[in-house]
Amino acid sequence: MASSTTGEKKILTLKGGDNEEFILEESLVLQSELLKNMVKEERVSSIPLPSIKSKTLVKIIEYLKKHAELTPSNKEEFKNFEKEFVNVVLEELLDITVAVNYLKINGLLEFCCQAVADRIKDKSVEAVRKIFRIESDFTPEEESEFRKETPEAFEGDLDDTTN
Amino acid sequence: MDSTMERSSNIIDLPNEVLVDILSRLAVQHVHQLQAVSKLWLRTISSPHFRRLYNKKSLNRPRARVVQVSDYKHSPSGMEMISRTISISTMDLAVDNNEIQKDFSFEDIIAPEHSFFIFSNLIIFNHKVCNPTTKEIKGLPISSYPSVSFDVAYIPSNNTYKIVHLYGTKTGPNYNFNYGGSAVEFRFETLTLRDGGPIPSSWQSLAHQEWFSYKVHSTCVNNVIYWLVGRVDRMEKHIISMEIETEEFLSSVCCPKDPYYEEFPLIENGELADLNGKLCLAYQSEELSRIDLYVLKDHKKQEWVKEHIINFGIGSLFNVIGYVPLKGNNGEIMIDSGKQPLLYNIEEKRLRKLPRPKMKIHIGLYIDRCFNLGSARLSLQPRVDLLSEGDQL
Repeated sequence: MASSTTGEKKILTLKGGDNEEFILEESLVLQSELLKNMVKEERVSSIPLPSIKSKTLVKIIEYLKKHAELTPSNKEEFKNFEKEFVNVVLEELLDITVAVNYLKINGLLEFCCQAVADRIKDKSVEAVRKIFRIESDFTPEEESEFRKETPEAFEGDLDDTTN
Repeated sequence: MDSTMERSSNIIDLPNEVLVDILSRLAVQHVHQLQAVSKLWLRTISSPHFRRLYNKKSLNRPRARVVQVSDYKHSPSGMEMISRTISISTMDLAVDNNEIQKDFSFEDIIAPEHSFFIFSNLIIFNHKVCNPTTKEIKGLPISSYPSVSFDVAYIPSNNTYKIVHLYGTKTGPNYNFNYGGSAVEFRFETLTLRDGGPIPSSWQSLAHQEWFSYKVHSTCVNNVIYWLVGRVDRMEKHIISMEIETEEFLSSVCCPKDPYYEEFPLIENGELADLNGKLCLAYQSEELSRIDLYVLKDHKKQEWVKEHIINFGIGSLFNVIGYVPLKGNNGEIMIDSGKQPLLYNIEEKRLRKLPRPKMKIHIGLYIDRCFNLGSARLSLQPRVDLLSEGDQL
């Protein structure tokens, strides 16, 4: 991949986990601290990101494009876009959050963390375990101690697995 | 998707710093409950790193705590009070729809003579301390002196609370109602409460002493505790203060003259409050139904500025509770009118009423903090700060 001549926009290729390639303007990826450093210091034109699924990468690139177009006049529109952006199943949201953290896109990371926190909000311990597929690794004695101490933590919202 | 693709992400795949960020956005009671999810969550939530971060983040969001005392039980003779019920509720001030939400209640067996009561993040009464977030109630070491008051300051750098006990040195004089009496000696002792406990077994007495007749009010602002005190031989009141971490006493400050002195020749007018990180002195007029708020601009120069006059329109006695920041530079001053809590919007000079509780209440502002009076549960205390494990993608 030829990396730019003067006057032209620099082009960069990102390679997702399944070797799918995404070609985009270099200026877009500068929102990612990780990619910015790679581009600036190592002058690469193709960056492999094997740990990020293509599906996730598509979403993130979509966000980067929208964010680059953000102006004071389309703020409302961007907010709606953000809302829709995190309106995905929990697994996907976590995939995005993990990738965004790796890429160090700070504004988006804030937003993703809040979105995950909103999914946890008001949920009982059991419900949180269920939606995040966490298995309790406490002994039965410890488990019953928790139940005794904060019974309300185990009450309600048990079937609330709506993502 | 081919076989090289990994499974979908699970919350366990999140680097610890991201899990910390996510959990720090939840209400403190909820976070406390979520320690039961798994050992990883327990270790994360009980790590000092998480707790410091949480406590820093919640600073801009004070909530109101409402304490109701009811169901007094008396001895068969009817002379002595044996117990009372203390009910604790909270009100989130950052939402539009303020509601009083009941948290829990407990029966308090009353110890003779000691029933002081302060309530912000911690509630202190009858030689006990209650942490409403965790519902812990622990005993405090008993001080044998005639108590005057307790104040609590919070030190963020090491997540500790320091209680400062002001006491008289001689049994006999009624230190709390020594109006018109001559100046007597007062001393101070402190008790440091660490996150996870244990509560020290004795108070640390300070060498410093003060002479005055009576104490009017006290408050803590920016890690300095201020006591408003009066002397009979001098007309004006003054303020003594102590820096909480160093336990050093600062130069005393004279107060502006009370414009409503004529109204209250017998009881003491004057109240201290934390107004957005500044010491505020409030004088009220029952006749005019208003409060004048003076702010201490410069401690050394003893410079006060009268910043706000709040008119209520109806005669009553008011307590200034504190400052509630709003978005931007604006803020509200919370006031208890005895029957009803009110919020005064500084920019718009407008009062609004908060829900009225059914019975007599105490009300104070507090900040959500991760803090346990006792040790972490299940002896699964963290040995390392998990954050050092870093990224792992």
